[in-house]
Amino acid sequence: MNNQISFSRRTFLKFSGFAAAGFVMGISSDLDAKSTATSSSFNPNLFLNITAAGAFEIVCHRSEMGQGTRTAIISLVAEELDVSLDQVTIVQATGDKKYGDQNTDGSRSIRYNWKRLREFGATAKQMFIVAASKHFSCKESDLNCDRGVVYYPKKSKKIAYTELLDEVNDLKAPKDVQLKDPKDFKIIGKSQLLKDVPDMVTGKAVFGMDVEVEGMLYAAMSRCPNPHGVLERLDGTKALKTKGIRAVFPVEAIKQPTNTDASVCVVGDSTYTCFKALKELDIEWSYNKHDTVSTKSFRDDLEKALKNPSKVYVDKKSKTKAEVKSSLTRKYFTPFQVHAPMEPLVAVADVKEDSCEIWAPTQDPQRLRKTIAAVLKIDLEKVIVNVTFLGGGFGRKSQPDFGVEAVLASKKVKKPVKLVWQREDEIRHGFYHTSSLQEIKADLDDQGLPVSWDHISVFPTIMSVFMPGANTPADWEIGMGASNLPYNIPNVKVSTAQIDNPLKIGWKRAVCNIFHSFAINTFMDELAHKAKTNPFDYRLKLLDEKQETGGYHNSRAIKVINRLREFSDYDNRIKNKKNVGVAYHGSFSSYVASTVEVEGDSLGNLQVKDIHIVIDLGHYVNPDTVKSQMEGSAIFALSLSLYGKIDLEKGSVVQSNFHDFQLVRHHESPRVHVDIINNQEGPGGAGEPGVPAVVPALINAIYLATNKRYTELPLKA
Amino acid sequence: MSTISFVLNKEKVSVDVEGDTPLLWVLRDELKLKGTKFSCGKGLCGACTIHVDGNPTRSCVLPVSSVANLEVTTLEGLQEDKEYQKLKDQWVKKNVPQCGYCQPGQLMSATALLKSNPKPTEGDVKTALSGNICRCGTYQRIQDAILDASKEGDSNE
Ligand code: FES
Ligand code: FES
Repeated sequence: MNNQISFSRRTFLKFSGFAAAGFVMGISSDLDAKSTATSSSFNPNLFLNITAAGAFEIVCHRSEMGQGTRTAIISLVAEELDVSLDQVTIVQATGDKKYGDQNTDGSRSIRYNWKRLREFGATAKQMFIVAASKHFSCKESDLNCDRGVVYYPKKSKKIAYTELLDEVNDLKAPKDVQLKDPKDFKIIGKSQLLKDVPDMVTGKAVFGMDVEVEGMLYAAMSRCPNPHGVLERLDGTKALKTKGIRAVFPVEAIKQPTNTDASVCVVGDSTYTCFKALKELDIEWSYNKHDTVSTKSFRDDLEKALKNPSKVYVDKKSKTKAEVKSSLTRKYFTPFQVHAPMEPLVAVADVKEDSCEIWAPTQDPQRLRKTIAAVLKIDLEKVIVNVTFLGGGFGRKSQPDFGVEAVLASKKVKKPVKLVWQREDEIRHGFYHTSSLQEIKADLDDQGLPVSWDHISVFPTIMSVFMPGANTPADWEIGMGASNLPYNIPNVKVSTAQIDNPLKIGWKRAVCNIFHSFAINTFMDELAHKAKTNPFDYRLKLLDEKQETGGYHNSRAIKVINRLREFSDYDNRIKNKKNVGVAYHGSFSSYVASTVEVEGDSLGNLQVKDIHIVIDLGHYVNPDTVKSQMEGSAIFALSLSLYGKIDLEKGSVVQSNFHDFQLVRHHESPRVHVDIINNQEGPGGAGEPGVPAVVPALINAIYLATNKRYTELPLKA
Repeated sequence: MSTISFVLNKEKVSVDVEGDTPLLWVLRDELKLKGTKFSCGKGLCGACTIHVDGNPTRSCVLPVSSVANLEVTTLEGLQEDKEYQKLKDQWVKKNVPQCGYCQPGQLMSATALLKSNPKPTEGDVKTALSGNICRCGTYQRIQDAILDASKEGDSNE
């Protein structure tokens, strides 16, 4: 059969680019990397290798989960090296600290590597120029480079980089190379075809779910529905009798920061055999002390906490006392949410006596590597973490739990094991986007502008997955939108309260920015309407151009807001009685404003029509990727606003699959229009900052359509 | 355990599996065709879409016994297909995929659509693909890609 993707370990390495002829760059010193160095390949640094055969191999050390990072990362090196993207082979890095931070979250891949990776490319190019100037006996300034060739225009001569490999190998790498002036960029800032798309549309792209290694068995688990539970009784006789089942065994929970649940693992000859056998397990879990938590009881806890603020983050007081004409107080609730990437969690692990190799769709291969070394009590150097494509991540796949489970299964049966999570497992055993209750109170002057702003934001903290008992949000969580309020208000107080986590809490795309932006932007909209001012003007009145808060400059926010007004044709559409809501939110070093238009007069017949998004993220690599991230963020925001919620009963998650954790589908998807501001600012994030502004823009549009102010998500609960 | 035969991507195959095994897992684990994806396992998301006698079908809830003697086509088997190729080219040109995981299913549904309805309206496209979830939110690009692919024939034929 053609196109079979049944690959041995060797061919898997080929997918990662390891096996190319003349390969010398140790993607991982642990692998067979010492092998095939030839004198004429050129490996000036960790990220670049030019093979004797003329292949330009560039390492991507960040994980690809749909944000286009593989094409973007190599673009940074290729730009300065002056090779074109079609000449480059991408080599996916294993988890290794030598690459620098590999944790693909926080929309940081470009922000953190913007200068560093360009320097790698520029240094190598400079060496080719030096070698070529010797070759042509000319000045370096007589030469220029394009597509891997050094040109000597005066004499109409040229020489390919690949013809200079012996020469550059004799050179010392220069220090302090000059980076290109952005106006000379050939790749950066221009839309590029994504390198991985051809494999994605033919089914050849290898996701975690698609990995096969020789002699591999399959596994699935039945996990305790309650994160605090332990196994009371197990009878696996019937499951073991299922045809093709090789082993049934309990696995104990591992506490923070690994956070696996107590489970029973079945190992067998195929995935489906394991799924079938799970149904034959006779298990009793015990979690009596933790079975009282429900959606309702947790909400009560939030309400109680909100009345007892215990920590103040911002307490700005003005000396002048303004006259208060009126005030407004509102409370906002958002539920727990789950990530639901289309690829459920999965990993293939091969544990040997004192070593381990794993293939996983992980966002954080270094953390997974460390965790595995600790769990197996072996040297870090003995653990190889291969990163596959991620079928979506959104923060869920930065957790090491699913990889560790595969490792434990492989260790038990002494064979490579592929552990597959079912959708129900993913929905019920997540690291949930936290649930929040907020209150904002503002005193207003005679023009309806706030003279004081009192914001209390209560939610279980992500820190609880690292430290048992952590019950107060970290500064950076409150700093995602609340304590870095951009508006110029004389008196500002931002505080929080203590609350325990009934579930595991994790990062989910845009994190706390979502609920903070939701509360602040819908509150601002209400204030604007109260003041009979349009919501653009109202915000602009409160944005002091010179002010900077938490690294965000209001001058950039103002430009984005003004541009949106024009780009979305806001005034005309409002004049024509369209229901267009507005919001602005800065996050991940980017500035985003959005309008959403809806039709209908109730939630029942609501239709989301057009969404406009303007983003200022400073320098960017691939504008088409930025656009697709905004489009995707808009859909993500709609899903969580309309449908997304995780309920609790007896301390366990109620939802289980896409029928009760619904996502927006084709027929509900609006047109999304995106505009990117051009400037020379340092790069900001693209993967996450699109989400927060869309949520309240939708709510504000719905207010125009229905005259109702929604303060709780999801709308269609 | 029984032997079940069907036509897979124009070749006759026989597999020895329990008849209730969903076709998805026969394709993936036994026949090692990984282009058909597992996501919900309950017929809710379309990631596992294949064609049975030309009709888009969710293979995760389709017992292999029910395709005995029928014609099954997966993404791997569409590579030479005219409609698929037009769609695929648009997919590439428009950078449609983000993570890519849902895209085989989207392409299977889109190919089936163009085969039964070569000139779909935007409404037709949305309806035909409403069973295919994309968590990354690539809907707009998918719809544009299908509509542009459907127009392409105009100049060629
Ligand atoms: S995996 Fe078959 S419909 Fe979702
Ligand atoms: S591209 Fe990621 S789920 Fe569709």
